[in-house]
Amino acid sequence: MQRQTYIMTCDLCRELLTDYIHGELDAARDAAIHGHIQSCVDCRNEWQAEVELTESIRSAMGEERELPMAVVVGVRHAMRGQAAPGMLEKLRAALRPAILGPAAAAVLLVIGIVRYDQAQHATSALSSSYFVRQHVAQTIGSPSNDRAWDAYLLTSANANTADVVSP
Amino acid sequence: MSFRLSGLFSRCAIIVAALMAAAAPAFGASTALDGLSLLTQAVAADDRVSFSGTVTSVVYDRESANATVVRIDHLAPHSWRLWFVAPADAYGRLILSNESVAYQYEPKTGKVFSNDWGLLAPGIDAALDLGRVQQNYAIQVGAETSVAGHKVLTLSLVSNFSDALVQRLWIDEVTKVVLQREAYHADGTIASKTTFDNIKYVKSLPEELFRLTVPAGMTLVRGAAYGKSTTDVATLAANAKFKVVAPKSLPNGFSLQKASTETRDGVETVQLIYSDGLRTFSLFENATARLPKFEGAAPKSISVGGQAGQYALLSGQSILSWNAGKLNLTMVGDVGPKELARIGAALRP
Repeated sequence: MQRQTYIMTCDLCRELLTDYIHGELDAARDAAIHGHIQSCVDCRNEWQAEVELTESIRSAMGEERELPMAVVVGVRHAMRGQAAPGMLEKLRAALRPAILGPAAAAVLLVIGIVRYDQAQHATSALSSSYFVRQHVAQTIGSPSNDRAWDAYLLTSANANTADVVSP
Repeated sequence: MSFRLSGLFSRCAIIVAALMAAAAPAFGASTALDGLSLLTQAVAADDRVSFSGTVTSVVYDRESANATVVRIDHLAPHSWRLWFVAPADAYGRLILSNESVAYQYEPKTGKVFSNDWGLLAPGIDAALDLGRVQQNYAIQVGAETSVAGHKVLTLSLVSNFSDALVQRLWIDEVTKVVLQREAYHADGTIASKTTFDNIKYVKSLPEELFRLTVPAGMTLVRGAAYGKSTTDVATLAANAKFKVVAPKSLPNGFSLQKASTETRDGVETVQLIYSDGLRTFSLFENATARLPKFEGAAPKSISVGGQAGQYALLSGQSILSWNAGKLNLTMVGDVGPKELARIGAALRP
């Protein structure tokens, strides 16, 4: 099996940082950025600032954070902005609101409804092992608590929804 | 799967922390050490002593016991290498840590999980609260014996309030490394045991053994994320989306240490952490009014202040959960379920 590998530069890292924070990258690029910010102080600071900004926006948005965040991400991408648009791009941009506006609004409305519905009908429950891991992770500072490594070094339960189970 | 892994790591955890609860300077055999001095040296030993050894640990659950055998290399002060020998489904797992970052290599999945120790475990550098231990426990030095061919002194930690034996440590007389450790439930039954089958103290080990690298063919991924804890519990509670409640009474010697909050799948959970210096328990609160799904053994029923609760023993920890008003309340710790239920009964959302 051939694996895709990336040579990560600071420029590329920062370009992909938002997608990285939102878990939207494929595994190879995600790993490449993760590895890069472990060793690059500047990019790690950039990453930390992005995370904090994201969290502050989430806090401000309260329950409906998912929808605004999608917008924020889009705005960020736009702000990182590419070179000044040419004539063709300007023409497309001029037409875009008229063509895509209603469709985008409909998509956003549907997403919003789904999110709202999910928020109102939370059907998931946390698992017992989730609580045990959280407890152990937070008490690792106590030398008396051997089981600290249980939570701290867990693996498979990290990046999936193993902590959340259907009713 | 998470339950299986959880138990598995629990076992390994015991192994490591026995080492972390390891000893201090290698300055000759002890002479008339009092219990507190011996414990003080033991908890700092791994900063001074390098070693290689094999550790077997057993965690006893209600109806079963899980054992793990791990080969451990430790280069003082901060480098760790753990190689899993048993059980079979863990064979080949490797953990490297510099006490700041830890890589866990999972050859079966081709992944390397990276965990930020400093971020996830803010208390890792905190010294054992010896004052609190001394306040709540009698620290008794016992007879000399031997573990893995080394002379050791036994240290028993007995609750000043219940007279229950909570832990026993077997501490190398020379290096002060903890070579064996047993923890007990409130009813006196054993909860876990960790012991060195063999250990060799060394002056040094090759740095390459502990180098955090990602082998070809493996992918580095992020490990677990946990809420950052704070001692400013009042502010944390004020920022929560629901009213956080705290127990009106606690077992003797326990007090609130810190708190954290985490949102998982849209569920904000607040965690309050209590300790008496050796034992800890957490109180989790969220506004789901839903009991967690218990993996493994079926939970047993128990009344918590008139509310229907469920409890189980999971990875050596008691877990008790019940609903009160709009809140789900869950307690986890090395405190018995009946004692947890007594604490929970005093909660009034």
